[in-house]
Amino acid sequence: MKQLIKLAWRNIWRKRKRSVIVLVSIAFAIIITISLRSLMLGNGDKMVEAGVKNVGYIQVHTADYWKDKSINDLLLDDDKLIDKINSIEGVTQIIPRLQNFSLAAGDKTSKASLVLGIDGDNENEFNKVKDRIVKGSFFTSKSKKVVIAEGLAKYLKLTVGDTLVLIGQGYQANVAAGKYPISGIVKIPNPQMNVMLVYMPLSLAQEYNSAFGMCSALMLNIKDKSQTNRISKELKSKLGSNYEIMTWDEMIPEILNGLKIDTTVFTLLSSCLFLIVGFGIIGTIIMMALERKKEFGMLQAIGLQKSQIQTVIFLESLMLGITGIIIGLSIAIPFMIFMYYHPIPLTGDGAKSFEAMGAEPIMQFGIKPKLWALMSFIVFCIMLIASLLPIQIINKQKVAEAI
Amino acid sequence: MNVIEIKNLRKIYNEKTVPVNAVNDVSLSFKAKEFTAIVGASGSGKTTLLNLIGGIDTPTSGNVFINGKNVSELSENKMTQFRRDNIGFVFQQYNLLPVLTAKENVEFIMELQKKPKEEREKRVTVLLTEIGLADKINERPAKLSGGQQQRVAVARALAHKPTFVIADEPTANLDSKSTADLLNIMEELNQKEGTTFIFSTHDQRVVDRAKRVIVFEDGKVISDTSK
Amino acid sequence: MTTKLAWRNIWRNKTRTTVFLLAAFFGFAMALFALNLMKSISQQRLDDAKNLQTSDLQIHKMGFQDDKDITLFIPNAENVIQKVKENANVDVVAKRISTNAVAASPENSIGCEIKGVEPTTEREISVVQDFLVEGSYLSTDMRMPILISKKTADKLKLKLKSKIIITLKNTQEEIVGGSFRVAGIFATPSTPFDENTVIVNYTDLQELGSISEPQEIAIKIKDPTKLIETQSGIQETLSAEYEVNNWKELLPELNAFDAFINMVGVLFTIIVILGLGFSLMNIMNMIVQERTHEIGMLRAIGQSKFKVFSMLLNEAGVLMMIGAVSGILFGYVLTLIASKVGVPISSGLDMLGIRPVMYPKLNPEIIIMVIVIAKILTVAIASIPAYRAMRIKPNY
Repeated sequence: MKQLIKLAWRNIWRKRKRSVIVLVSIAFAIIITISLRSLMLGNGDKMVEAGVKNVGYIQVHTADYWKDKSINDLLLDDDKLIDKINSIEGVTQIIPRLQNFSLAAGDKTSKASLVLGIDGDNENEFNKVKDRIVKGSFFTSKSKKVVIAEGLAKYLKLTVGDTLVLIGQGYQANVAAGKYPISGIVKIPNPQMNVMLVYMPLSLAQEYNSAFGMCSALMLNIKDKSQTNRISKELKSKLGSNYEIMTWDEMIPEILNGLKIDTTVFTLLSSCLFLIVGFGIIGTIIMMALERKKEFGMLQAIGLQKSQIQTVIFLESLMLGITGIIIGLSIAIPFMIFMYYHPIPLTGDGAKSFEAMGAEPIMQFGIKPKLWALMSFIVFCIMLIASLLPIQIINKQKVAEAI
Repeated sequence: MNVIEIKNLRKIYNEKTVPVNAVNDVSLSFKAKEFTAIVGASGSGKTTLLNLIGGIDTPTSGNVFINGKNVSELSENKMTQFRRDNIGFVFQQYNLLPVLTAKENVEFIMELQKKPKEEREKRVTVLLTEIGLADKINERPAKLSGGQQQRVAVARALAHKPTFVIADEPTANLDSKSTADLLNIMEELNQKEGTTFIFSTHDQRVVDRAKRVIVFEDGKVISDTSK
Repeated sequence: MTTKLAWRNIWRNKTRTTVFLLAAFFGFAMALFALNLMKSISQQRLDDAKNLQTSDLQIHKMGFQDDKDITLFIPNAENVIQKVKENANVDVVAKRISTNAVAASPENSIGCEIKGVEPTTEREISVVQDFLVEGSYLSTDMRMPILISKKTADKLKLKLKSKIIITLKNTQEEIVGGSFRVAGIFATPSTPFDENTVIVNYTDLQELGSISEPQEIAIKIKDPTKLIETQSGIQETLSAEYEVNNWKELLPELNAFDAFINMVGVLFTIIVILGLGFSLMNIMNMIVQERTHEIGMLRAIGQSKFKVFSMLLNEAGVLMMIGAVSGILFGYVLTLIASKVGVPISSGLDMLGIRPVMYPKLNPEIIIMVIVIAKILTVAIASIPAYRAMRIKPNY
């Protein structure tokens, strides 16, 4: 066997240029696919993270709230419920929210807006909402002031110190209406939200909606993201069917669906690339075998079994593949690690479409060992397939005809 | 004692279309230590005869006995193993593996036979000295001349001490100096090692050196003379 | 003659050529299919958005686009419409009232954009009626009819003929409300449109908002390739008070996505052809090596260096082009089949305005792009071995 390995390794380097091209094409395929996918996955992670900052890992609602987000489907924010949720291991924070749609009006214009009642300090601890302030200051929990999004402020031509008029329908068809001074303006990355969000202290929102002591959702922060499903399951069994428990992936399907497009594009591209590179490699391996028919005949004559010659061919293909994979990975991995720490900032239209998804406009690469393994495995399979035809050729070869 | 015994050997190509009797009812025997030339024009069937004797082709009918064993009955794998252990080959060209050095080429079969390293080393040194290439043991074939390559091939064929060596036109691509050198070496080794040599040729200078000359024409032996 | 020679030469090694051509064939076919599919997805998103939301061109009063202020209506709208209709490329002109409102039922309330339209002209310009799942288009026999989406209907728990309250700020800056009845429910492929839009009769909304003139004039044109010319033609006849926008300007995000898809397409093609280029490089190297002697002979009998160079380039070109043309033809057939059968796209993408089943169309510019990139890369890749061949000395 040692002898055959030596023979295979030396055979690879017989036609140096040819083998180098094969190695380069394998490395090329590995580097391109890994870079592309790492970029997609890196950005995907970033968007999911941004999405989770908005909705939390898990939300608890009253049954059937999420579908309609009706102001009539509210939760009683009582200690019993909080204690029950807190008793589950891994839950680190419970953040209540009360949200409702209203018409927001300035002096001249009006616009449908989302009035979000929050517990400012609690919320800030989870998603640093107070850091988004661009003008004025955030309200305190007892204040009667509101903070509005930058786009909405511009649209309504309002600024800090002006009064915002809100009118809508409150809890159980009560009229919700009020005039609130603006204490600050925040910039929301998601442009859709940026033109409609109004933050209000939770207690003020309860008063506005005539929903005292109630909230529409309890947003949960947890210790470890991978525990999401376990915690959600425990919550379901503990709280029963009067409550709706939703995990982050159920609440931000638009982000996850966007990532599906990425996956489709990547699958198409990588299968095209592997198909073509694969055929190139297969062609080369076949040529390597066909050129050496006489040599194989001689080897058989002097006493090598067909299986031994086939082993040599197989080893050649495998060694080429593994060398190519090693070269590809040894370029791709350090590159990925470097890019992970040095993301590329985006400008122009590209930046806009990132902001539309609520994410920072940077090209973020991810570090994905599973992807590395998968791409290497695909190349490995191609090499196995490549060695099949030459092995067949040897099977059919007659010694007397070959020499 | 007869090392090789062939009886009523026949090889017909294109049996179904235009039959060609490459070897037509040939019976021959070869004794140990014989140094035999098979002479014939190209197309006379001498290569087919050598292939049949060497077991790399199967006869249409008839049998080949080597050391009394009917090798025509062996399966392909068994035959391959039999060739490895009992027969040495020297071809016109493509004899050596281009990726192995002279030494590695010579010890190749012994390595396949899993002979111990010391034994191999000893044998290679003896043979390479014998063929006058002791200083080239670590060169690859591409760095050797045609004559030197054929000498290494002879060493390779003898390395594992086979019962006999088959050489198909070993000097066809060589100049007269190299031809003479190669024949000297073959003769010498034939004497020293006592290995039977059967080679085909159409070169009169080679024929002159043979101890036994078999003239082959249209698949039949037309004369068989020993000196 | 040179092509014939190249053709015969490439078949001297059948296995090698066959394997390469197979790679090229499938590679080009898949690339063409994938590119057409991606392009069609982005095109369909744009078309749906255009047909549902914007139509080809829109006129607003300067400044309306910034904050959709209800008071920024189009002065002398009838006059403007007359002027627009004089443009030869204009097909249909429709006026719309457009403002923000809150739609409420006893169950819930949502923010939305309300559009007041004239049913007869609107039906010619927008395709909403094609997506009605229940009821009928704004009918005259119902008082205060409204069209809402299935999503809105579910959120507000409304059925056909249910009452819905619309609250908005009128031109006198008072908050007013009116009750409408659901005449029809639509479900379009565009979730953003569905989530945001309710449609009522022009006159009803005019009355509710005390509005005399429309905020928006939508124009459908006859020849879509003359979009920009028509736009500037109309702008010239109007004063600077009016702003004419084409749909590309009105849907910047979708347009950015389309540009992104185009970029991905070029990148995709380059990567695929580069992948193929490695094989080509290998084959060219083998050819030069195998034929060193032959080329030397050709040089000896008087063939010029450049003839040798072009001979090899020709061979590479013929190889690549056979693969490209046959692959593109196959990709064309695949796309044709897909355009009849449909390609299921992973579900749930309707939020991005992507239909669950795509019927890809063939884009001729993709074929041209693929062939151009293939040609350039072939010449670049084959030049190196061809250059080496050129330097072979005459011998025999």
